[in-house]
Amino acid sequence: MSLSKKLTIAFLVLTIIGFIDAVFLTVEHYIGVIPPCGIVEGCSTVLTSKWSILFGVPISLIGAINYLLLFVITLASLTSHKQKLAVFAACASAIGFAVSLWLVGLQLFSIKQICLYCMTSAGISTALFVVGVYIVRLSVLERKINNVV
Amino acid sequence: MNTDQNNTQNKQRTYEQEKLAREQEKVSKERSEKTSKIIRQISIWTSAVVGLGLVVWGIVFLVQHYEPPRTADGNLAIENPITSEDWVKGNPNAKVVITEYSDLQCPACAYYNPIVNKLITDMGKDIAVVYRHFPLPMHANSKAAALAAEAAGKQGKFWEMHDMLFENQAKWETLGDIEKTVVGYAKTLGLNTATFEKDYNSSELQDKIDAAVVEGNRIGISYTPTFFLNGVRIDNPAGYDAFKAVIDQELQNGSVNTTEKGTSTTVYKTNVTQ
Repeated sequence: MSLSKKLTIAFLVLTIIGFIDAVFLTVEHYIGVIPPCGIVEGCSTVLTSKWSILFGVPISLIGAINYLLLFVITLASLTSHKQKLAVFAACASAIGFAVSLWLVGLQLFSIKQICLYCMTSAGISTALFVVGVYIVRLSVLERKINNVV
Repeated sequence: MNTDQNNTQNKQRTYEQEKLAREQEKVSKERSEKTSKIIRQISIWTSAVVGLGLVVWGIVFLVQHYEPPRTADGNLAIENPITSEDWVKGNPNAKVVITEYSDLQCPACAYYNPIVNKLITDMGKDIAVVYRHFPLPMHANSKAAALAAEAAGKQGKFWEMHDMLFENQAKWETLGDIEKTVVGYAKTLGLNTATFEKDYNSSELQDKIDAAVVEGNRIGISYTPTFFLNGVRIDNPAGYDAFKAVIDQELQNGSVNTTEKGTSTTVYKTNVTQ
């Protein structure tokens, strides 16, 4: 298996984990009663804060859609053998990474509470971005080699 | 000569026939490869959709059937749902006692406060609500808020301060020091602010809150609000109607706790002064 394929699969797996995490938070938002305040983590404060909803849509739902789109594009790249699609998904992951940085900043400085599941999502966004950087670099390198040949 | 010609023609025909057969075979092979590729694509995407669908369904199911963490020994009951030391609302001699372990800085507790207040307004004769402090370690101002409520309680306005703190939670939860704010609330409630400040800073009340935390930890409270119905922990009901339904059922069942717990409830109840 080529390195770029391995990276793309790693990217795909990360989008699935991110999707599960974001769906959990979304379901909590819509079904769960106000989540109680736990002794170890402050999800309640974070998830009920004014920043948890953007234009009437919970941030977690936006996150879930983000992971789902990345998943679909990456899977399409794998099944159609079009590396371009994986590169596109890798570039798009930068948006999720930037948003995650902002959300972590909000948790640390404005809400002053850490929500474990939100931090997990931020961690996955970061990992996606890092893997994404490698996917893009590898594709640029491959193109250069092809040009030379 | 004619025979030779016929032979050559036959050979050529056979060759063309073979060529045709090979091409047909190639085409059918390509076609079957294409078909299997399409089938593979369909199966991958179908399993992706089904897989993700199952994940979503699983999460919805788990969230709906979530059981809060139990204490180490599996004991979800408290032996003293109401004591003479408690802050009690409603009828202290009621058959149904709701004991709430709560944190004034917890948004979920603030969410439940108007629900509990409405329960008292609607069925206050039949129920007693007991409030116990369990300030969580991660809420920087919740101990101070508990102190403010207790200090107001010294002047007979515990519940008023408690409601005011919950209603204004967003205004003080991120402050560095809430003393000025709570003294302001004390003023609004018509309390003697000098006495309030003295009590707010007293070691007596500090000790009381610390003892409440120790007691909460002993019972194994791990989240707030935690509600106990006649000493038995219940899942947080989803809103007023669900809460009322749980209480109604308990009322219909009559004095449910005929066990040791129930007996101790009765003993404590007689000591309560509202």
